[in-house]
Amino acid sequence: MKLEAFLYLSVFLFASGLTIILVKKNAVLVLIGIELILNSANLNLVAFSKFDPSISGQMFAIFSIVLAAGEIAIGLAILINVYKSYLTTNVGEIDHLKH
Amino acid sequence: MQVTGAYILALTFLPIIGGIIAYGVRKEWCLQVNAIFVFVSLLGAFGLIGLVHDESFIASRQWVDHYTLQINVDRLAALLITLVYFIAFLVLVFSVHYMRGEGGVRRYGLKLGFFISSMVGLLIADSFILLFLFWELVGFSSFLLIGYWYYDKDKAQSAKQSFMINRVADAFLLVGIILLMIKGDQSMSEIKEPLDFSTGFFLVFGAFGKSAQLPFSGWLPKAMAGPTPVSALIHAATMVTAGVYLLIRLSPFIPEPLKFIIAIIGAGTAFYAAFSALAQYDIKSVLAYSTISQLGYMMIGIGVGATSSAAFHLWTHAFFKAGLFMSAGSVIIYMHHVFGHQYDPQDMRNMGGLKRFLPATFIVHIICSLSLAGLPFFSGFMSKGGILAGSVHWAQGYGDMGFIWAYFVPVLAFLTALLTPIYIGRQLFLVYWNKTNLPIWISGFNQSLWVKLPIFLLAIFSVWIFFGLNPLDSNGWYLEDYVLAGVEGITVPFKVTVISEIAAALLVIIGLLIAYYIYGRGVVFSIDQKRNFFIQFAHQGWFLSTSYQAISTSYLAICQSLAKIDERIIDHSIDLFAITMVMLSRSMGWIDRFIVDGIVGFSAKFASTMGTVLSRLQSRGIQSQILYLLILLTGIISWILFL
Repeated sequence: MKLEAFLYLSVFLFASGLTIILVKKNAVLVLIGIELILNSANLNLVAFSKFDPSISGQMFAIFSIVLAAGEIAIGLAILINVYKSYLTTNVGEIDHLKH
Repeated sequence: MQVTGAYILALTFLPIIGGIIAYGVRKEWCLQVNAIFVFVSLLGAFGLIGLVHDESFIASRQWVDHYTLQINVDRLAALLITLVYFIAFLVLVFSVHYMRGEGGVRRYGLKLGFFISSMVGLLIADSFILLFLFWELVGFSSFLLIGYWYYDKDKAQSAKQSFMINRVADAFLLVGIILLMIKGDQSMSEIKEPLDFSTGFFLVFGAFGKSAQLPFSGWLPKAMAGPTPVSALIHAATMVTAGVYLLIRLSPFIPEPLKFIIAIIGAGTAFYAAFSALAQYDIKSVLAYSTISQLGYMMIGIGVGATSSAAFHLWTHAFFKAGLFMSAGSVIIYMHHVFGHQYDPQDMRNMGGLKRFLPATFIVHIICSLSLAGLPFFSGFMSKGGILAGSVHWAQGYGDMGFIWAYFVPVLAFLTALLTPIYIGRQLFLVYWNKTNLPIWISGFNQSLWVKLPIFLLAIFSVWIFFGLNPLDSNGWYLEDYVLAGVEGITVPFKVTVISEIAAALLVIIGLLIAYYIYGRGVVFSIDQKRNFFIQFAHQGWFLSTSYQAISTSYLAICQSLAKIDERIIDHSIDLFAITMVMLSRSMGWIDRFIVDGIVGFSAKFASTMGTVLSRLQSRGIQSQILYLLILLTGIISWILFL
């Protein structure tokens, strides 16, 4: 399988994630978009690592996934707090850090 | 005793002071008070004659820088001041009776005082500014007196007309004076060399105005609208002689061609007025025209160089003409008494046979008339004879030079000498002898002594003996040497004098006979008698005042058409200009509003639009921020990659 196929998929994922971030109002979906972008990067790491004799790339991807899990946990926690104080998850309406 | 400035000032201003004081006195006594003041002045004037015998009194005072006001009381002035006060005194005495029952007697007295003071001021004035000042004051006070019955529209109109004609002539005088002052002469006694023609011309025509010479003669008949005593004082004895007086003063300096003009105009005026007097029916109009005619004689006298005769005639004329006017005044008193307001008390056609009722006036009127006509043994003969002889001599001089036209002057002068007894005889016959259809007999009319006394005095002063010892010697004036000591006169050969005096005497007798033949045989003139053109022509004074009216009417028409042009064209074009301006402003405003304001507005709008657009970059919403970030990033990357 050629590298380009992986990259195309990665680009598609990146674009999809970006589109979701830009278009969707719901903060949960935005977080999902962020996950997609993160995963497109991971895919890149894995794809490049497939043509590389060392596996440092794949290791890096695993780290990244772990970090993403932590990150999403913090993100969701923030989101719950945001919802508590704003009573909304619409990112367009959340424009003050202090309420 | 020495003449002082205070003496002259008091003498000049006593009449007006008297008028002001008399204004506060009871109506019945105010003219008497006036008369007392004038009498005191008269005594002062008699004193003045003696005081200035040796040298003239000259006083000057700085007025403003470079201008001094100077008075000069020489013998001639002193004599004429006395004349003015004498006639004025008699006139005031006469007025006491004449003005009884008229409203506004105090006003009359004040105006008269004002006039007398102005006249005396005119006589003593030496600097031209003063001369002109008093000249105008005399004209103005004369206007006030003519318009005494100001509520009568015709009379007010007459006053206005005579005043206006005087103004026109005064403009000439003013120009003459200005021309003289440009040259540096400030007073009459400063003139040392002959005047140039134009200056003299303007001065002479200014003098013609006051002395009612052609073409300004029309005002004097109009001036008869005033009370008769006023006519006696102003329009016979004093004011009208102001022009003659000025020319006598200036006569040594008037150039020869101008003297020729003076003689010609004087002769023309004398004839014109005598001719017009023939057809007058108003008793005062006859006298007014005869005054113009006699003033014409004085002008001839000045023109031909017989200045002393002119002054002499001025002197004698003042007495007999004032006498004539006052006689006419007493006739008018009587007629007014008889008619009330039913008939015109001044129309000679309504009179007749008055010698029975007014014997005193009759005698005075005859004596003064004969003096006016110039019968020997009366004063008029002496003074007129000198002028006639002078004109003949003068014309001979010009005739010898081949200038035949100069004979025009003596011919007209002698013709006037023939016409004078005719018109004055006509007046006598119409008033005192002829019958009239109207009832003019009234019983119980007594002529007041205050009327008789002044006219008798004037009649006495119409006899030769008060003027010269020899009634046939026209150069025999007692005062001739006194008055005109410095002025060189002409010497007329004895033969010429004798011949012209005989001719004059013959003409007078012929004229009186003609008057008797035409008017003295019981002809009754009725008012509605038809007049042919000639009589109409003479009656209207050769249509002189009509022509003034025509001139002023046409002038008015020109002014009105100019006003129309102004209104139609100039106003119109100004309107058009204004409209154009408004339109231009409107379009400027449009440009301002839509282009200039548009540009400003557009830039403001552009800025605000741009601001709005650009502020979007900072819009709320994290997503759009990210989008712009992306676009910018893409741009930067593609710029790096592809350029």
